[in-house]
Amino acid sequence: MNASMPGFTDSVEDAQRVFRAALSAMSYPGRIERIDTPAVAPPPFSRACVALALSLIDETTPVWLGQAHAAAIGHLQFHCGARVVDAPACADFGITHASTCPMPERWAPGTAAEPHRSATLLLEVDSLGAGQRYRLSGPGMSGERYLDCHGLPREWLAARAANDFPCGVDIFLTSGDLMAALPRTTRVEAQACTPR
Amino acid sequence: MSATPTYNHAYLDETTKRMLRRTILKAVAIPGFQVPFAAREMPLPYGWGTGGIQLTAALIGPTDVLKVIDQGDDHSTNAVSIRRFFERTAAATTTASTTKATLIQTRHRIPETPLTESQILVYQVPRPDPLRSLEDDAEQRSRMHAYGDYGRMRLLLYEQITRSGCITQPYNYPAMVEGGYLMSPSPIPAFDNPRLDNSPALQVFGAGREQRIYAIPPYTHVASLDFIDYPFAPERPPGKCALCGSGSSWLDALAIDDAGNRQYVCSDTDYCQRRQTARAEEVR
Repeated sequence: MNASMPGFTDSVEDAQRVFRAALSAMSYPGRIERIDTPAVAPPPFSRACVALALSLIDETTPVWLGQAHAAAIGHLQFHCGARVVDAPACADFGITHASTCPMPERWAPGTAAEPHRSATLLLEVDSLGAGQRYRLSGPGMSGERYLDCHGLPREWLAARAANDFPCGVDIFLTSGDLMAALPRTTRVEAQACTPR
Repeated sequence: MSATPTYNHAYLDETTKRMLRRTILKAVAIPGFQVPFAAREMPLPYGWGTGGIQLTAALIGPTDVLKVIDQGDDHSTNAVSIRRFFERTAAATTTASTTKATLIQTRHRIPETPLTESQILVYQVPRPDPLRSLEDDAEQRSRMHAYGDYGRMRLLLYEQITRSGCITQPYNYPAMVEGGYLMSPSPIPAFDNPRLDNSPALQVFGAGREQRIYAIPPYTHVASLDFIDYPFAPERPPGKCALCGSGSSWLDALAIDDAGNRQYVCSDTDYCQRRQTARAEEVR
């Protein structure tokens, strides 16, 4: 039980700062943002992941937790009043390591008339800014953008590509203090080798 | 100026801000789609920017510099009171300078000065759905957006051509976002529409009464509706600004006497002021 661990030092200012970093990441997909709050994260949460959870999740947003992250369930219940659900399809937020994330089609994708009623995934990855190179394209990018990231399963990304806009899930990738985002509009292609 | 201590930072409670922030993130992820949200009652009437104010309240932080414009003007009633609202409730640093601002809340204009990646433009929107005047039934409009069924909007523009020989939509000119959703750019002059396209800055739109938030992410293609033989050709008031001499900015007509004589001046007061200052320095 991690319920005794502190959340944000200043719940108002910290939530605002983390949200703006998240908004910048979502607006400019592939841009890596650094988070400096909260002071501690309950394992196995990365600081960036718990910061996103503390600033976006509350009692109105059902959460699905991966097995490892479920160990820190008390932390989210205490600080966010999070309601934890058993089925990914019922969750507004999913928090898990990317390697054990249920396939994209198991999350709520929204509908053609209500595409916003879709899940937001906070996926912990092994690294951001290093690892497999992905070429990104879509809104939010001027010219070509690359994201280096280790820990995103290939078959998961392939299944994500089958999503039919405007439906789809939106993703935050987190690792340590770092986060990046892949909204549903971003096309992601793994690069065979790192271009120089 | 310090914040009025009886309010939470930026007036709204944290639960409301979280709801707004989640809505904003979804709006950015689905460019041009109007995301419904539970708009709160604000201490000013609908039509005075309640949607824009809620967006700004969800966004603003201690490092932000806020600029508020009403028809391009930093000093008109709406702009002054919204700026003062955030000075009081969020201890906001405010400015009239477009280049110094990190957050710009606007009513009915896009600044003449090009925006950058470190800025967010917040629009006050009275009627978020461009199909509102064509279809009364909200559910039907939602279906039309889902199917990309925008034929009736094209018909409206076509009828203007048959009647007047050209598209006569001077403001609130409908535009397609990334080839997906038709959006209302809010009542900005059609002259401003090209600035919606491929902007380095994030643009978010808030309609309080209609309870909708939508967004144009940075570097997103926004195309004003038109026809191959009648391409989008926004008009600009003729002549130059009487104060700064700009021949490329959007102009307001000012009545200067009882005989009906008018003077044209820039509607963007910050742009005009900077040009006047630059000209004065050149003369010196």
